[in-house]
Amino acid sequence: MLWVMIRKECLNNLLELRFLVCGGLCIFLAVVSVVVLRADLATKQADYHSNREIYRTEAEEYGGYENLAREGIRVDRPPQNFQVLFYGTEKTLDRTAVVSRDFLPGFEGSSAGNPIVLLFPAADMLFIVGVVLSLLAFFISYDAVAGERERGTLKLLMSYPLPRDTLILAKWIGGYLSLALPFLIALGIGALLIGISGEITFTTEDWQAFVVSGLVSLILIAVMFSIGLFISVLVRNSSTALMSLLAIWVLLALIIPNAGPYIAEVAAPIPAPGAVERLISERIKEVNDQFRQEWGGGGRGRGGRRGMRDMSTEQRAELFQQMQQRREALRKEVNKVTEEIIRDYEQRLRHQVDIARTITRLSPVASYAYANTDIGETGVRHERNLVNGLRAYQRQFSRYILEQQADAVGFGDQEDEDYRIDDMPVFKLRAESLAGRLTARTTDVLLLAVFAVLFFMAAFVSFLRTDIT
Amino acid sequence: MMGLLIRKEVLTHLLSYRFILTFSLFFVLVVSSVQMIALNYSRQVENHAETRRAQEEQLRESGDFRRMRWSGIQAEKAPNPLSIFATGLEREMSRSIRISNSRDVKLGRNKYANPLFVLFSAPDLLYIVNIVGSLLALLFAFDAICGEKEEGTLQLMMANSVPRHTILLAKWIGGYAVLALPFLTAILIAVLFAQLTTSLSFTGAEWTAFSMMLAVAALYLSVFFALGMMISALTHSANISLVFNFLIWVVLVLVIPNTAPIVARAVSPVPSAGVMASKREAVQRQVWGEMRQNRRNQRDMSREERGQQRDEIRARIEEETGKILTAYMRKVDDQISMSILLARISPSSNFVYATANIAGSGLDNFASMRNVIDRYRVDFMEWWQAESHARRQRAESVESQEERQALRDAPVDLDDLPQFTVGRAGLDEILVSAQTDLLLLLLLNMAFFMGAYMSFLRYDLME
Repeated sequence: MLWVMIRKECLNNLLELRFLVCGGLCIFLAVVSVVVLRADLATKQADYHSNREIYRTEAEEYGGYENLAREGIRVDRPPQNFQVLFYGTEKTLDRTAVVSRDFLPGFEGSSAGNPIVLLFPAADMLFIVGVVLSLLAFFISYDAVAGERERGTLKLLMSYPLPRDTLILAKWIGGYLSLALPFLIALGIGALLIGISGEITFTTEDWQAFVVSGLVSLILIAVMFSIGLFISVLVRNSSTALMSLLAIWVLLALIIPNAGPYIAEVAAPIPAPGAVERLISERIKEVNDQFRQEWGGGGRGRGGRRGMRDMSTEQRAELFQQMQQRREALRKEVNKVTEEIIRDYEQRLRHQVDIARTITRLSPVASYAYANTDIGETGVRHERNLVNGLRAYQRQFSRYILEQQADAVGFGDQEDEDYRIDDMPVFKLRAESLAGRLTARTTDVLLLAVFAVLFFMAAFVSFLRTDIT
Repeated sequence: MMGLLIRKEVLTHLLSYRFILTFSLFFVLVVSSVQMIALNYSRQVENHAETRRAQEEQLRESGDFRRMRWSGIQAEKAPNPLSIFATGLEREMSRSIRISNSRDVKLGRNKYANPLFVLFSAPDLLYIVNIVGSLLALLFAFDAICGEKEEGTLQLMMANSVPRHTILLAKWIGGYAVLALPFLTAILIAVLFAQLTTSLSFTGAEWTAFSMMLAVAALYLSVFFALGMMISALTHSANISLVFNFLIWVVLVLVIPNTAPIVARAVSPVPSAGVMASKREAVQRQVWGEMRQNRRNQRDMSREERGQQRDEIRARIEEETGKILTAYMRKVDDQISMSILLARISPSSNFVYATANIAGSGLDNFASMRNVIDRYRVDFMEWWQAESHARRQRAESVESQEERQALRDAPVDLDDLPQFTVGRAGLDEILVSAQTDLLLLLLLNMAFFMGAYMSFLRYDLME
């Protein structure tokens, strides 16, 4: 019996214009978005590789390790494979960082960028599923029960020896299948487009993440469909159901996820980035002054450069070594102070992000966005990973410079004869394992599952108690 | 007759569930969005004042005058009150920037900023009108004609001696009034409330720009209302009309504006900004390197000659790096025009471009921000040269070495220092920059209304 009912539901949906239009739209959107974002990724990757060469050549022209340490080496943001599906934070204009010995690095944008992407949300899979497909889910479910009630077919159906639970279960399964079908087709085409592309290489783990993110999308569709079904049972008239669902959709898909960061900014304010930079530069100045006071007398007492002329070679070497050590100590102190401030700031920032997340989890679409951007490594977690990677690279870079300068004698600024940077470390971002990413987002995935079950139960129970006449 | 029909339209809408829902949704969204973002704006204003105060204090105390030639000066745009309605690129433009001769100016999110703001777009008024408003406009219009036909009331109405165009016009006026009035009321209440509870306050020019934003929003809503009517006059069942409305809405509002910039990036590629910066620095290094090579010949140069040579070199660097930048910016501008062009078919993108520009957070403002920064850099360097010259002259008459040092390193006089201000464009400038967008919105409006009119004249009532 259940089977017959599911078949009826599926056929009913499949033969309808609205299903054809919506399904076609969904597939069309997915194809367009994957093709466009794939081309975008290909350009980014080509840029990334050629830029790396250019930056390296640039560094080779510095001619001395001291210059290299001061000017630093540029590092571009490595493009993420998953941007073809979830554009996420890849939208940012801040793509280049300068890693030098003396400053804490971070990706920054140039004033010469093209900012137009920032005016609109990106049309990626995340958007298609979270916004368009969830609207579609409402669009297919709004008259599932209310429509049949209006047309009178519900009464007819119930006059058969058909238990109510079978009926609502069949409605859910049939409707959900006809929603999942276009999505799965779209996802399949997306996978094909990624697979046949010569420019993108998805690793096995990428494909695993692809499948996982597809599953999360399916859960979101289930949540949205269940909400639609629930409202359709609750409301007697299908156009009222549609209007109510549209209002719910606007809130869940368009407003709540986007309002989160703003609410969090008011609820848990953090100092403005400009203030943090100011604090850092003040503290650095203090440290500098302190060091100058402690050592200033000693250094100048020897008579600076003029005094050095009378020194023997050993004395001079000793002096250089001393100065080297002092500079190193100063640098360490400056780094320590900066890191303290930054760490404190970042802790508060993390807290703010957590608050934004917690507030917005009211909307399954927000949970969905957090889960899938992190699974695809284009989300908040990836940003943190990037910054940490960049800092680790800076430490590597400083160590390298120190090693190279260990036996050099001089005040810097001059050219080193044996200046070769072939063995300089290269910035490599260590990707987090899929398991780690998933563990971090367990709450969101679980929450989605709970929402799905909850709303299905609500639809189920209210249909059991509904008054058909 | 017309009045009667309009009255009927208005009353039917007012009494419908759809109206109550739309109105409350709009009201809640608009008021909470404006309130929330106005609170953020207050915080930004405080932060900005704090930054300025700290900076002035620092300048007043520090003896870093000579170092300022290299290290430049920290500048920050004052927060723009109109950006609470259209965040646009405000967050990119309002970060604190270091303006100096030696480094490229960084615009864009600060490296310490909250990444969530990149992940989701701001739920500001622009966003609400652009997405929710257009959807509601379609919902108001989708069954204007086919719905009445299904109910059978259209036939009844036509049995009276009413010309078809009167019916259509009455439907348009009545429906649009019911759509637009609650919308405008909600916005006005939201703004007044925000003015009372937060530190938001508008100047005369800002009120003008704000009313222009409202006018553009009203124009935008009417485009979608006319589109909905047209589809309604082309179809014979409300359900089918709804499906097509929805389809067209998704394409116009969600797909075209968002895809166009990324397509343009692939069609008209631009090398990354990092490479351009690295080229510019290479030029600088090369020129200075040449100077250092020649230093041996300069031993017998006088101080003035040496200074002159330095200035020449600086001018040369300025010129050559300027050339690189101009060539690069031309490419970027091509790409931007390309994406604007690609997205022009969608009223949504026209609306977003126009409104953001009027609010002062659009693409044109981003471009002019670059010019402001450039001009300020020149002003600042001129000020520095003049001040340094004056200080040197003053120092010459002083005998004692220490006093001379103190004179040269004296703190900066803040009244002389050029101020970094980003002005609001005048109304005429805004109108010029937004004219294409406005014209297109107007044209689309007329086209859709004409479409609705033509198909309604031929509409088959009996089918």
